[in-house]
Amino acid sequence: MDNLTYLFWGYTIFWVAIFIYAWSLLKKSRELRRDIESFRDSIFMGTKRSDE
Amino acid sequence: MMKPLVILTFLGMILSLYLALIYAPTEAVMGHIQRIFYFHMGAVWVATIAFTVVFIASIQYLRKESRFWDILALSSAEIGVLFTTLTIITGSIWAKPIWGTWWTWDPQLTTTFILWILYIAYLMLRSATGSNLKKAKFAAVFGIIAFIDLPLVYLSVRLMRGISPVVFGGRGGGIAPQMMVALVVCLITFTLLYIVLLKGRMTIEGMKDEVARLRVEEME
Repeated sequence: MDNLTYLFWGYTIFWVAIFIYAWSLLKKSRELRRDIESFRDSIFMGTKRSDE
Repeated sequence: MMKPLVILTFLGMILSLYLALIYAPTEAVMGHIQRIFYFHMGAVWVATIAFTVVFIASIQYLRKESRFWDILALSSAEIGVLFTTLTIITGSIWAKPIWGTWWTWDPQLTTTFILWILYIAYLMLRSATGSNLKKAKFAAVFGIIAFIDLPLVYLSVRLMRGISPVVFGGRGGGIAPQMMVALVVCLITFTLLYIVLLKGRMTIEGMKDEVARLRVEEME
């Protein structure tokens, strides 16, 4: 392998790792937001039913 | 507040790539592979900031027992491990054509490897089951002790005989002004990237707490 090939792989691995990590954070954040909304809905419905 | 910072970081990344790959002159002895240095140093820089933050946040957690400091330490440790991994990988990719080997047990490489293992252990400790309060306290103590290795990484290259290059100070001769511009821009961009990732990771931890709270509320 010549120097440029090493350089290419160095930069590729670097950015792929950063993007995978950032993407995993976004994915987890979306999942948690969904969970929070569903829990809030469920608590709200429970409160509403007990009021009735 | 987050969106302008993300955009600024993204623009900084593009500029850093341009400066590192095109603007900076090719190093006379090493050739193009030296260009990996800008991002390698960026990774080293972020790992240093991240583990310093873990150290400070751990002390603060032991003093105040506030969940904020605990979340900050955990989030920063995770990012620190990611960037230490990238430091080791980019360092190895640089070493292969220059030293003729992917890895050698040079003092700086060895202390960096130990640092990496220590913070992986820290994250494993955090993910273990058990009382959250006990885990947080134990992790805070661990986070303070593990930090001792960080100055050793920097001192090892200067005090012990090794083959790692010293660019600044000591035996180092510094770098060309254009290279310095590329390096400084990379370090600023990586600092922004660290802030963006840290904020994102801390938000997730806060949301996990919220889910746990709502789960209890729902059961009641």
